[in-house]
Amino acid sequence: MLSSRGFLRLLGAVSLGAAAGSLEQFFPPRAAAAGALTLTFFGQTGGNNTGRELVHRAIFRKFEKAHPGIRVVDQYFPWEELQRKLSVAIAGNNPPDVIYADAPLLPSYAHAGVIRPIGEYFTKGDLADIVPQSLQDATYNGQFYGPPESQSAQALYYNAEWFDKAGIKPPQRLNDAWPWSKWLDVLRGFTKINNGRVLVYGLERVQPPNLYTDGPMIRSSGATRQSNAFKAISPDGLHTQGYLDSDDAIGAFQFFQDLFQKHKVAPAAPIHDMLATGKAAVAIGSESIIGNLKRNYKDFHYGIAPLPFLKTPLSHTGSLHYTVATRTKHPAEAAALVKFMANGPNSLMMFEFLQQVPGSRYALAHADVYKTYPRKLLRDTLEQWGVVRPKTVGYRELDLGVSTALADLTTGVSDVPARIKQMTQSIDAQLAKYK
Amino acid sequence: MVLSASRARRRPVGGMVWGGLFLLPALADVLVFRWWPLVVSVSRSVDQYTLISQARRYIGLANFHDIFTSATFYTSLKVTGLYALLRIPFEVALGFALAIFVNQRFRGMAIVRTAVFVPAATSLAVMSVVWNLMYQPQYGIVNSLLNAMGIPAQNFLTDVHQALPSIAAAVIWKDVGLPMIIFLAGLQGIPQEFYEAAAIDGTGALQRLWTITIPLLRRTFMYVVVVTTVFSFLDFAPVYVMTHGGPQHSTYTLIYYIYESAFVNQSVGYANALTVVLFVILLSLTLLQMKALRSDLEY
Repeated sequence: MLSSRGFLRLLGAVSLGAAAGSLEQFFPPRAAAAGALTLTFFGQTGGNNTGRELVHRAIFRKFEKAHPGIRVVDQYFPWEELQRKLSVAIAGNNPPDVIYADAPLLPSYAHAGVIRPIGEYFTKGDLADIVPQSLQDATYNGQFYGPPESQSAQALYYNAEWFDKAGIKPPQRLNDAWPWSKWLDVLRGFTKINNGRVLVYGLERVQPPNLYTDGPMIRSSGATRQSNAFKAISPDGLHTQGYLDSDDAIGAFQFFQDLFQKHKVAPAAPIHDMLATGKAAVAIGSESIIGNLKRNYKDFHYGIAPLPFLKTPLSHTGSLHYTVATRTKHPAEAAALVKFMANGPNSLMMFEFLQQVPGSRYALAHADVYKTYPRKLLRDTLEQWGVVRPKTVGYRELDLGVSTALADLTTGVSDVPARIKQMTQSIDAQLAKYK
Repeated sequence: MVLSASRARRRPVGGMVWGGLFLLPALADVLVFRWWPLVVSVSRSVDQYTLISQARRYIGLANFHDIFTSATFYTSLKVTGLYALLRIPFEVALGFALAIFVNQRFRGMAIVRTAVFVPAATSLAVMSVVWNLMYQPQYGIVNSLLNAMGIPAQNFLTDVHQALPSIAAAVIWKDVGLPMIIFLAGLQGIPQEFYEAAAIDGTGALQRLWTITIPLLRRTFMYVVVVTTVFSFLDFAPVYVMTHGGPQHSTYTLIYYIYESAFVNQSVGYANALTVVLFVILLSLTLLQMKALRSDLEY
């Protein structure tokens, strides 16, 4: 029989074993073969991205087959956790070789010296395969930093059966697009309120207020693409005063608030999958909505309409890019990997999973769904209306400032101009550290 | 049996070694994950740098100057204070009342104790996600219950006046099991003779509570109040999951301000300075509470 001392020793040994086991998460899940060069990558999974890691792994195995001396060691995290993990790894001087960066964050990574220019590894033909918006996102100070995994374009997605029943035919081409004023009438028509409680909303907002989704409404208040409201930020990317608080922009912020407070066509608190579950008639967002519908609501019949606008139509673009860490010991191999990950066939493979417009012209040409309506509308939106998000080294600060102000508007800030002026002052104060 | 002199000498040494070995993980945790970050935080509070850039610039006390001249800091301090005031009295009083209730002998008492304590053992993040859904204005269960009683739906997390109390209520529900267990241990440590003597003197239940239970639990109260205060200043997950500091900064706590400064606004030196300020506030509060609730009673 085990003595009490023996039991304690056993307990200690088991504890140490368990602690060692838990350390496994800090080590690569797949050991590299002896003598092989190792490249590391942090990817995303979870939620609607569950399965994305399988595509990445399939691409890595193909790469390893083509480059027998190289092994790719990968780890996957939910989106927000990935951002924190990357920041902490970078701060700890231990970033992965390949940094999976959101398009608008590329300038901040390049400015901080976290990622390195890799234009020298790309031929003119390679760069010509990348759609212009992605090329613009990937270029900072004239240098190319990395190809896109995919692109994105925004639109309205509506319940086709409800619209048919109501006899409403939304536009199917960009040239016929409706402005927000016309859509507002439609959204109000679908909104059902009973005893002060909204049973059905006109508009589902897939994400909480943010610059990507809601920025186009604000920027579209500019009369032209040269207007300050449309530009949203100064050319040096360090000032929003005079841009996001111009008269046109403030009018747009007021219109945004009215959707929630005055007309009550959209909920202040986000609700999941409202469109597919009959709680909203229309959803606004990127093509990821289609991916969700295809995976989880296969029988749901939807239509797609061009994104509404106030004066000048636009859609925000941009998705994730593959970039190479400055601190990598194997820049040529890492560049070869990111080039491989984003090549035409692999972009096409990623598209099959993401159902999101590719950033590779090859993949765009080979994805048949983009040849006819409804998906052609998204390709047209990218190519004709697509505008990159305001370019600044302080995109996180900009996005936070705008998102917080938008969220405040949805909950009923009484003085919209004052709140927006406060927003631009606060954003500019944050951006000042980059001067 | 008589132990040999040499064995008698060896045994305490062996015990100390084993004891030390078992203490090592806890000691390492305190030194590496508590004290060392504190030292680093203080040393970096005088720098300006972003999380992703390696370049640090010494700026002296500028971060502290910015903190004490920032309206956002005072907003977050006010919100944190309000949150603590909402949470601490309710949690302590409720924990104490529950402890008295479950200290009695009745059928199913163990189940009641477990039911109250289980939420305290669940993840705060998971609890926040669940309560976020429950508070949902249109389809959440809380509003459904209110509607069934004829009360109009409430915008719990999107109303400026309701968001902070709603978060506090959810956290109190989750954490009240902890003070309950601590008070229960305290209650069971009070010798029965005191109550028997009081009963002979003809005292009522309320009088026994005021004259015996509460005075003898003074140290327990001190521990619970200090711990609840510290926890309430450090609650991050509920705000992050449920409101992101909104609506209109009504749930913008100091700990959330620190997170946003470091991870979103990339002002890590400033966030470190905020951490130092928070540490000083908490330390001062704890010392004050310990002084106010000190007890010399021994039993």
